[in-house]
Amino acid sequence: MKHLSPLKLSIYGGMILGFLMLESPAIMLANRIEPMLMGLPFLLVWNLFWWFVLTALFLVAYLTNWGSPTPSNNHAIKQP
Amino acid sequence: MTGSLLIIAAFMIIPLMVGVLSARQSQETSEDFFVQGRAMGSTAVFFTVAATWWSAFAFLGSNATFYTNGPVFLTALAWNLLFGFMYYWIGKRVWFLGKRFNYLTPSDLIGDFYNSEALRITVAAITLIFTVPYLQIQLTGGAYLIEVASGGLIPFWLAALLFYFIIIIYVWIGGIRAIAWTDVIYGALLFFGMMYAGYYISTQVGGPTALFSQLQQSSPEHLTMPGPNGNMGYPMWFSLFAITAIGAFMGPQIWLRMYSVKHGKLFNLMPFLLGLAAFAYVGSVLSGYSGVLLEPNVENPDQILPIMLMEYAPYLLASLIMAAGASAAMSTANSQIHAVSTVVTMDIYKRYVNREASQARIVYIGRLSLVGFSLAAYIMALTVPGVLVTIGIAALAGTAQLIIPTIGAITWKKAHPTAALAGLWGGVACVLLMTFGPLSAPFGYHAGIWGLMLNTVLFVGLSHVLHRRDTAVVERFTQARYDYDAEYHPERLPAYAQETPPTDSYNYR
Repeated sequence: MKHLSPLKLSIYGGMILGFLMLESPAIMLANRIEPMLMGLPFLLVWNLFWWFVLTALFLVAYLTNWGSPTPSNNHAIKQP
Repeated sequence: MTGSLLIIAAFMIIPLMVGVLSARQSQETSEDFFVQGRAMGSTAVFFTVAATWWSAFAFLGSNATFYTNGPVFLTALAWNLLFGFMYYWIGKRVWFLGKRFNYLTPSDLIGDFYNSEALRITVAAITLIFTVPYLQIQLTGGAYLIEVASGGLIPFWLAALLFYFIIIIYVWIGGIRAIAWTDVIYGALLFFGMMYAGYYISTQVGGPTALFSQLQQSSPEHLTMPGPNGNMGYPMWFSLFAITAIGAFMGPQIWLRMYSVKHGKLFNLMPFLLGLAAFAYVGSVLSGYSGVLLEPNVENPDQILPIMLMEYAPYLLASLIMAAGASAAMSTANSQIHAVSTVVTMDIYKRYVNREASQARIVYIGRLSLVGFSLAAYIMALTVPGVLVTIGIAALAGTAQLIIPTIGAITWKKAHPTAALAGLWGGVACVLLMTFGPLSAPFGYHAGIWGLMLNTVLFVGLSHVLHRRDTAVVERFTQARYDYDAEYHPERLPAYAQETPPTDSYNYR
């Protein structure tokens, strides 16, 4: 696991957290109408919030080459 | 009425013209007809993947589900994100291997890695059998919309026939290039239509805030799981998330859209773009819930959106939005017809009937297959009734089973062909028995989830017990995976960390 840099760990860790908030049984904690936020039921707000977090993380992942070195930074690689 | 007929005519004719124009760049080779010479650019890739992935299931099925079953379809936000993530993580590897070994179909990759004819045939059969019902729901959804938009002047059977006639012409002429070009139009219309329909219809009850406030008073069970019917709780929430994303991603039409990409870097961006596009589902939330207040007694929930549009929107606007809905269906149907014809041509005709077939002959057989599968889907749409989402999920549960051997092929050198075959048969049998047979899916989870679990257990367990003897094939893929990492994830290689060349005894994964 040495190849997991702090940046890569943060990106993938954030994604796992986002998916857990949306798709694990934790979603049932948000399965309620109140408190309504901006006139929207809480379950909808919860889903929109985590959707936004994950979409933003995908953008960060793209901008950082998903935590991998860009090709210009690659070390010389020998084949096995 | 004349205006809406003109819109329907434009909806039919403009894509036809675009398809015909795109065909001027076509070459008479199978690689060009099926994967555009592996040179599809970023705009076309995004729109054709998004428009293929978003179907009548999304446009009509989402409204119908909010209308009848409450919030369970909100899980669509997450399944779009999962689909995007898979397109990056799995799709990029599939693309790399496809480019290196010249693959065109799912069977090419899976059959080649596992070095098994039985597996190759099984994969081709799964893609064909489970894609046709999903194709049927596109036709049904699109024809519903055209029938309603024309005020019944164009009956369902004729709408469906027109629908397929147009697709066959431009796919026949231009192959995947024509589809990608037309999907740019369809995709733009689809996202506009979903968003605007939701906003417009919700204004009929006072806007989004008033909508939710009224719904909380009159039908609060629509706003939380398990919904008004009491059967759409967490198990179905999770099942829809996993089965829809994985099943659609493993459809042959998406495989072709992995193989077609020109540059690997595009895969890095697609999760963001596909995730962002998911916001359009807010439109479905608004229109589906508005239907609960405005039209509470619609018999066929798949028709709730067109019925509300005809009732509450100006006629021309309603027709335009319905054309957008038909775009969702058409952009998926054209890709599916093209994909199944690719499977028939390359996995059956070229491999087992005529190995020496010329390029022109292969393209011709591909075109004939277009007509055959279109006809099968047309007949099914006229004769097999069903709710769009129900049929769609059953079909997706079948293709979803392909994810297990695919992940094995791209990541795991110990993955064994017998294990992959047993897993696939077990998974598909589980789906069929729990969907159509005597067994019922336990604990409320969809049959596809149980199929995936059985598939995984068989695949991993047997792969650990059995050992592959075809070392040449295994090493060829090991080398390819190494080259992939060297190009895109050099930090994964020991040489990167140690800055020393690996020894001869180093066993890469």
